[in-house]
Amino acid sequence: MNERYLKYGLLAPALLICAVTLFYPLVQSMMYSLHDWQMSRSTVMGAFVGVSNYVDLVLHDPDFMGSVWVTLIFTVPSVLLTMIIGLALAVLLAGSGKLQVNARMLLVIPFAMSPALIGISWRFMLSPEFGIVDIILKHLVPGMGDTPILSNAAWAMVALILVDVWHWTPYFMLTFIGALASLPQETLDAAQVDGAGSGRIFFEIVLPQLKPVLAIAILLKTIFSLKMLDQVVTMTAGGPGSATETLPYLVYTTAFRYYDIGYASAMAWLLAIVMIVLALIYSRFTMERKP
Amino acid sequence: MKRRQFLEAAGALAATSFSGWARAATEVPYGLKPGKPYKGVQLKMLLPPASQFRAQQKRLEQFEALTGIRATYGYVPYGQLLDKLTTEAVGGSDEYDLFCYQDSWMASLVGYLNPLDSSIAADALDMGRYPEVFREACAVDGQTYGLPIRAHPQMLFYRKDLLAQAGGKVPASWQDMVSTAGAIQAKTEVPGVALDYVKGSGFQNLWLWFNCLWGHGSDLFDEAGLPRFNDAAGVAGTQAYVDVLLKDKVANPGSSQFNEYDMVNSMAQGKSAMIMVWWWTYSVLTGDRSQLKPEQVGFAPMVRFNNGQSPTLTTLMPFGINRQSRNKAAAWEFLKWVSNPDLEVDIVSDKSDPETSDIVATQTATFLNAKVNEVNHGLHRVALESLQGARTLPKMTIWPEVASVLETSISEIVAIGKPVKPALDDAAAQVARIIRRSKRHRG
Repeated sequence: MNERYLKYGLLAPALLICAVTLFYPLVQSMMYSLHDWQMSRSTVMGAFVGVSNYVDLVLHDPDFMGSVWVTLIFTVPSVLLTMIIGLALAVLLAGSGKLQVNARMLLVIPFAMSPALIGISWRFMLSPEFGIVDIILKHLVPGMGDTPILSNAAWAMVALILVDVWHWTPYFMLTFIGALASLPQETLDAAQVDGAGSGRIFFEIVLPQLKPVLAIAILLKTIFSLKMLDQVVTMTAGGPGSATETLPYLVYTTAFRYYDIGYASAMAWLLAIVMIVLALIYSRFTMERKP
Repeated sequence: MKRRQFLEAAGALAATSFSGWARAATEVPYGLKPGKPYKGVQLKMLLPPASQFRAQQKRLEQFEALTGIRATYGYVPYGQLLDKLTTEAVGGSDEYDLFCYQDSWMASLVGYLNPLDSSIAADALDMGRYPEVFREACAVDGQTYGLPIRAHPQMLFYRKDLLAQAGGKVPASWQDMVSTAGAIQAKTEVPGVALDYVKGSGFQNLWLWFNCLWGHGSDLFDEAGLPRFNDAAGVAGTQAYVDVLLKDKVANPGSSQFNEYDMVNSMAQGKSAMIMVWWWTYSVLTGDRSQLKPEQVGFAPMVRFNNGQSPTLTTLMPFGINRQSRNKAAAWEFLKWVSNPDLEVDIVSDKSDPETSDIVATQTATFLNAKVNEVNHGLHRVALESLQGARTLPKMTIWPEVASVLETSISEIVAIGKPVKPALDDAAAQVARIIRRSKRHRG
């Protein structure tokens, strides 16, 4: 076979799989979003309504705009904290000492847990009557005992963010440990010989060299945070009020509790556009790194 | 008698006796089809965990022996049941042949449930054995989509010992309940009452709100089908509901984060003196995992407003058949068996195993059954009092959406401190928008 066509032939199976698993659902959900489809009335897609689902969402639905805001409030700190703590742990545990290796193994446990299980476990741990967190807080912070954390708007969001950070930090810690291991030892040795302190070495030599990995990690974590659903479902159910009602949760409830598939698809598409943009930036970064 | 005549008579007698014996041998109870026509069929049921269902599960061998059908139960926590049901239904799955669901979900599930009226008529199943409110709760637009296997009247449960210490009497009205809770709390330092204000547990924070709403003369919708829960009576009712925690401060402070299970556990662990909840919780409060002794747990009809005239709420978990099931006829056999009065009486009278000990019944005869009441300390007779004038949740396709708005509003009022009137006005505006969208769906 001509070499020109061989590459397309070799790519064909992957493209076919992408078409079936990615493009078909995307196109299908785009179609749903342009139609009226209340599944509790009909199992068949209803009339074409153009962009009215999108117009309803953006102009008339306070829940949607509220959930966009809540998603942002959740995403920004969860990404920042995960990066900072992940990097700090990576620097601390990058060595090959017994303690560091064992600590790394232990710290990976939260990432190995199912997100739904994490949510349920933390919900119990945060219970004002039976939870361990309440017992600890009672002794550490005067006045914090018997505080129903998950029914306080600010605390519920803080709890959700911290649990997410707790869940994802090990993954990014391992990513950063890998990146640190790949840094050329010569530059670090040279800096030490020149008398640079560890702080200066970190901020002026290590951090600049980690920038590409950091950028990709931030992008990935942003995508993970934007689509985080499990912990909201199992820990707060979007409450109290709608203080932790993120956009994926709203899409989920609209589709699978209210059966409004057309409307939920429109929401999902608006979220997908943001994700696609982020994914394109991610691709650009990863491709730029290739020689 | 001649020899020939004798032989003929003896032969006829023998033939009659044999056919009678043969008929008795093939007759099966509860209207089940004789001859095991569905032998070998495997049925799967989706339902929330409950000791009543575990008790049924323990007796499934009886069903298999009578019909040759094998039934299995698959449990999903109540808070996730609607999501699971919806996913199964919308996905067109036939994995489960039977669903257990809450009555208020029925309107949005009718497209996925098999109507039962023709089967009920064909087998002359006596629906008159259920209280009228239960029968009505199983039908939408005149069609029946389930049998009332599990149903709950609301009741008041209280700590007899704490009430005696406080020198109070058993409350009959909401106002009595608040003052009794205050008296108990002042005397014993145990929070007077626990409520479940949290959102996200199958709309549980709306159940007592309905008592308050109806008790103050308001309702969800007016005659034109528009929201009216934000009228003056609705605001007063909602205020009464949240004041127990926010103003009167006689509710357990954890109530803002409690769901129904938490609320019941709170009383079972001795951390709250009273709860107003479905009667199924009696098994939990007096069970082996409770820190309370059965003699500490008192029960009374649900407290009411308006001199005892306001309605209480009742809820059902009917069993229905999945429209996608390939075993609908066998599933109907199961419904006939599982709804039989003997099974119900047997389960509520059996206290031999704490895992399967339950009090839930749905048939009027069981509520009045002397043995059942003797074994359960008269709970069933009191429950029947609670059912007088009871209402069920509205049945409409947009109920999950409307309920979601309402549960969020209650949570906003209690946990975030949003004032009642603006919170209800915002909710009413959202519900009106949902209604408008739903009319668009209807074209």
